[in-house]
Amino acid sequence: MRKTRFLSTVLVALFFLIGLVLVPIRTSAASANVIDEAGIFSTQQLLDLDDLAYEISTRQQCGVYVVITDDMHGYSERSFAEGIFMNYDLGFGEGEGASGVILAISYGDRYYDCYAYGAAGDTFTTSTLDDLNDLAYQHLVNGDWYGAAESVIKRGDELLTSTGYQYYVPVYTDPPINQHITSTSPEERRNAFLSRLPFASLGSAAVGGIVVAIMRGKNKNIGVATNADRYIIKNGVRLIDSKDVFVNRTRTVTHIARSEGGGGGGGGGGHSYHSSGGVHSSGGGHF
Amino acid sequence: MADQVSNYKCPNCGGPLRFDPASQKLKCEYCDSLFTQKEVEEFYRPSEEAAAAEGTDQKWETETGEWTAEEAAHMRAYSCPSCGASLIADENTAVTVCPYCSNPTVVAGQFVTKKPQFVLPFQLDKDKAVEILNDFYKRKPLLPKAFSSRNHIEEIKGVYVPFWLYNGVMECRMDFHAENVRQFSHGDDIVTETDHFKLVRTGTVTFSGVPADASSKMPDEYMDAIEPFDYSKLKDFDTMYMAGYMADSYDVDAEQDRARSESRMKASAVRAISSSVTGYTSVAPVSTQITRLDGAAAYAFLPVWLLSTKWNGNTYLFAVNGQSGKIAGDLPSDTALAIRFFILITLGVFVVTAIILYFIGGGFL
Repeated sequence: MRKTRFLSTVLVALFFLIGLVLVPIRTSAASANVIDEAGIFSTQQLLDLDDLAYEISTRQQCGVYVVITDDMHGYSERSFAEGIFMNYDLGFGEGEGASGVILAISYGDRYYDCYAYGAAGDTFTTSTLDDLNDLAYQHLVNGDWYGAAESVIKRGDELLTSTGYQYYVPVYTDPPINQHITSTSPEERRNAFLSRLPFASLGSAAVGGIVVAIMRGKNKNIGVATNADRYIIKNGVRLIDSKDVFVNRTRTVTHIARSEGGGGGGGGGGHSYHSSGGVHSSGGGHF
Repeated sequence: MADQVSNYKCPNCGGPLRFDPASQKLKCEYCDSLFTQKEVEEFYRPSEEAAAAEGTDQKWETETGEWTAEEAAHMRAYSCPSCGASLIADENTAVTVCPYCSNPTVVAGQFVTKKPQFVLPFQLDKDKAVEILNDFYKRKPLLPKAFSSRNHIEEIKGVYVPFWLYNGVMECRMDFHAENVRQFSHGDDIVTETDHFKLVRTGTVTFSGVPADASSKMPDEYMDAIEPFDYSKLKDFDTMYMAGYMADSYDVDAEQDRARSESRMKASAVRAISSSVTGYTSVAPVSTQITRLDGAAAYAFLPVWLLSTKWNGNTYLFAVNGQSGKIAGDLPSDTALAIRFFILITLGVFVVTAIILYFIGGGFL
């Protein structure tokens, strides 16, 4: 009985712990070029930076972004900038045609990193992104958040111009990245996971109940017989009359609506081929 | 009573018939066939006659015998004041404990039982029965340890249980509605053609030796569970087979037990006749009439090793077929152990499910 009580306590504790790790679902920020979730910038600073980044993005046809978050949103350092870019649905152009570069900063973790996606990857190579990181660091280490954002935006503009960047939709040889993973943040996946746990626990309890019922059933093998099949003598079934009479035929017709269009070949036309679509820096850093 | 279904349904497809004011006839809502009342009555007359004939089932011919004075002189009767069991044994067999309720104060009773026509001698000895019972305790994770560790096994008793063995011939007429469905595409259309058939099957099914225990003290579900017995080893009754064993006197006569055996025979007859319908996409029985053409019951003693034990205020009975060794019983379950298993299994399944969900969801760590 004591063991039973202990196991019951463990079960309750497990569900309690799951409850503790439940956190509110974050929602993606509204579409903008400069996003400040940590409240670092004044309203005017934010407007100025966003106007600057928006003007460059429109002119260059390449999204230039600075996003400051409260924390890492559950991402690892390696995937932080990429995750923010994907999860916030950033980039000039749609879907695989998106092109852009981002400086992502986690205020709480004092971590920053740059990442480029799509056609922007031609300009913002790993070494270029490292340079942008260095540029941001020089300001961030002095607490100059505005300077870091502004300098990266402007430097991005210069690089796009100097490399003759032109927007195009790349053709990817590999699926860009797991769409589910890139389109959701780890927090969203965790929340989705946790939302399924109550159903999992109910299902588990049902399985447990069925197994125990089967185990209990093994203790009982009595039952009233309902047939006498084994007592039919050999050749004891004799068919005297057997008639199969056709009565009528009914016919139903179901119209199947065909989908329009479809098909359509693919192909064509990108300037270059990217294996996955994203370009990482060598690694971000803490300041 | 045999099943009796003779309501007016469509003779073609079995659908319900409704009076159609327009045609002044009975109309099938399903296949639109029209019939006059006379036509429908003509069609169903054979069925109604068959159904009426069921009331004339022959009385079961019952085969029992009477003890000779010499046989009776060597037998002793006992009764259990606790459960009312009425037992007999030969004069050299001591009956001290009731095999049904374990009551140790069995008293002498009146010798009134009928002599069985047949006996199936014990083929398993007590040691083998004990071994079977011990095996039955194994692989029962919810069996309370205290129950299996208590030693009651020496109290196992060999009992000849009275049975009626029924022979009979069942005549079964069944009507079915069957369909064959064919589906094909035609342009942008899916065409489903259904052919409807009316099927009739009539046949007889012959049964031999359907057993029904003739003791009200013996739970039917135990005796049904230890079937079958090999009747090829049946012997004409002789008191020599009683040596060392006791027997229960029958207190349920062949007429009282008939319904139980007939119900089993009818179920099997329906299944046997239905199995002759093949080659259709779907088949549904529309009506069934079963009539018993012939029947007889023989009184026999069949061998059963019985163990009754008390635990936590409840009586638990185990029965072992004295010929085949098949065992039937209702063991207690340890509730605390069941809860423990439930929690452990639930936890285990939950953890595995959570891991699967984690990876399916793409992970987040």
